Amino acid sequence: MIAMQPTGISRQARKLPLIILADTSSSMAGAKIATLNQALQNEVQELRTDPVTRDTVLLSLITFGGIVSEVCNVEPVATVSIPTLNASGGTPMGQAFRVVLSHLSDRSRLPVSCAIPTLVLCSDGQPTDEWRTPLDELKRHPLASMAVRLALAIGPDADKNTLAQFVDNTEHPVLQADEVNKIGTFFQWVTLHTKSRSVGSRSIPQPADLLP
Amino acid sequence: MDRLSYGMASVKGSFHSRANLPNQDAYAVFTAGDTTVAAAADGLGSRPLSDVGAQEAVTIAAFLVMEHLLTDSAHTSSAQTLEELKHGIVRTWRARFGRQYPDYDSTLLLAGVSENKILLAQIGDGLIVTCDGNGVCLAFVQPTKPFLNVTDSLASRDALRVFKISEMAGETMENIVALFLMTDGVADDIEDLGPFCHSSMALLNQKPCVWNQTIESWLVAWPTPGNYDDKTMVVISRSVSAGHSDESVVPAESALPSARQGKPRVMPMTSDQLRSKRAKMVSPQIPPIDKPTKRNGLAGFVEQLGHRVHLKKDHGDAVTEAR
Repeated sequence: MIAMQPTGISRQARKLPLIILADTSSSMAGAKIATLNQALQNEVQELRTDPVTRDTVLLSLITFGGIVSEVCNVEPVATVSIPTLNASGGTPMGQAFRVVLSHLSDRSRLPVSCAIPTLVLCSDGQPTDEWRTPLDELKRHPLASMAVRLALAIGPDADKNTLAQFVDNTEHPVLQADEVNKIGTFFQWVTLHTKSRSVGSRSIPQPADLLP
Repeated sequence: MDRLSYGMASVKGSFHSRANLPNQDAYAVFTAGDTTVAAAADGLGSRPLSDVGAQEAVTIAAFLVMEHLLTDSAHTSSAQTLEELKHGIVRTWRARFGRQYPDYDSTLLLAGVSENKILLAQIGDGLIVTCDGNGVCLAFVQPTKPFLNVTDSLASRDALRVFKISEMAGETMENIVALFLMTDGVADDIEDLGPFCHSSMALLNQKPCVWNQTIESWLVAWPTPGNYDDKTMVVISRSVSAGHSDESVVPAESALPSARQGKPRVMPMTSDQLRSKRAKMVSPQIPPIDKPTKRNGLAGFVEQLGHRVHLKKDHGDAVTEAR
C-alpha cells in the first residue's frame, strides 16, 4: 500500500540548463556549419525523445558569427525549434560570453530549483573581440564557476588557449575535432553527458577519438 | 506540561545508490530530560568525505547545543553566548579533520527545544520550519541560494558570517507546536510550506507510534520527478499532554517493539559533566585525531565524550545510547 504523502510537494521535474555557444563565423562555412546544424538537430531530437531529458533540459543556443544571436533562450527542449544556422562574419566570442552571463544572472529565466548548468563552447578560430574580461566575469559568476564546462576545438586553426581558459579544469579537457564529422561525435557525447546528468549520474568518459 | 514527540528518517538518493556511494546526509537527535536537540546535515557532493563530515557535524553540533541548553538557564541567551556557540560548532567540526576539513564539507541544520527556549541554527541550504499554534509556518532562513548545489557550508570561508543562530523564548517560543528540519533533497521540492507542514502533522498524528516509518515512506516515494538527492527529514512536535511531567520527551515510536524501544536516545549527563566534556572537546591541547573514517570517526569521537554510538550506515544517523 502506498503511504499518503503530504501535500505541497512539487510534481515538476527539476530542470537542467544546457547552454551551447556555437561559432558560426565565416570560417565555419561549408561542411563544418552543415555538420554542426545536423549535430544540433540530432541532439535536440535525442533529448526530446528521452523520457527524462524531455521534461528536464532547458536549452539555450547562442551563436557568434558576425553578431551574437540568441537562437533559443532557456527553452524546454521538448518544445524548442532550432533553425538552420548560417556562417558569416567574425568571431565575437567575448560578446557571447556576456550573453551567457546575462542568462545566468536572470532569475526570471532560470528557475531557482534547477541544477548546475552545462556550458558548451565550440569554435574553429580566434575570437575577434575582447574576450578575456567577459570570460573572467563569466567565470566569477557563482553558477558559471560551478558549471560543467565543455569545449570543442574544430580544425587546426581553433584557438585552443581560449577554449582551455573557458574549460579551466582537467576533468574535461578541450576536445579536438580534426575531421568535420567529429563535430557530430562531440555533440553525441554532449547528449549522453546531458542524459547522464539528468538522472544524477556521474559524467561519462570523453570520446577517445576526440582527446587531444 | 508539554510533551515532545519526534520522528526522523533519511533515505539515500538513487544517484548514490547506483554509484554505490554512501548517503551523504546525516541526522541525530539527542534528548536529556525535557530537552531535545535535533540536527541534520547534508554532506557536499563535491567533497570526497562529506558523508563523514555530515555525521560529525550533527554529533558535534547536537552535543554543543544540548550542553548550551542545559547550562544556560537564562530565558534568552546573550548575543555573545550564541556567537560563542556558533564559533564553537564551526571550530570543533573543523578541528576534527585538521587542514583537510574542506574534504568533509557539509551543511548543518539545528533545532534545540528546552523547557524555556527554542534554539535554531542553520548554515547552508535545507529548511528549518517553525509552525505555531495559529497554523503559521515560517522558514528560519528563507531559501536564497540561486540554484541547486550552490550552498554555504561549514568549510566556507565566511561560514561564521552566514551561520545563522537565534533563540526564541516566552510567548513566541510557547506558541511553536512543531519544528521541521529538512535537507535540500526534501526542502527544494516544497512548494508551499503551510500545506506541507500541516498535512505532514495530520498524517503523522494518524499513526503516532510509527513516525519514523511514516516519514521514511514519504522520502522513499518522493513524488518530484528527477530528484535523485539524499533526503532527510526530522520532525519535533509539541502538544499539551497533562500527566507526563516525569517523562516529557518521548520518542514517537515508544510503542514499538522493544528492539527499537530499548535504545532510548538519552544523554544522562549533568550540566557539570557536560561542561567538563566540552572543555575537553574544544581544548587546543587535545591531540589531533587521525583522519576519520566511518569505522573510527564518529564512534571514536563520541566515545571520548563517554557515550556509545550506533551508526545506521544506510541512513547515516547517529543515536546516543545511555550507558
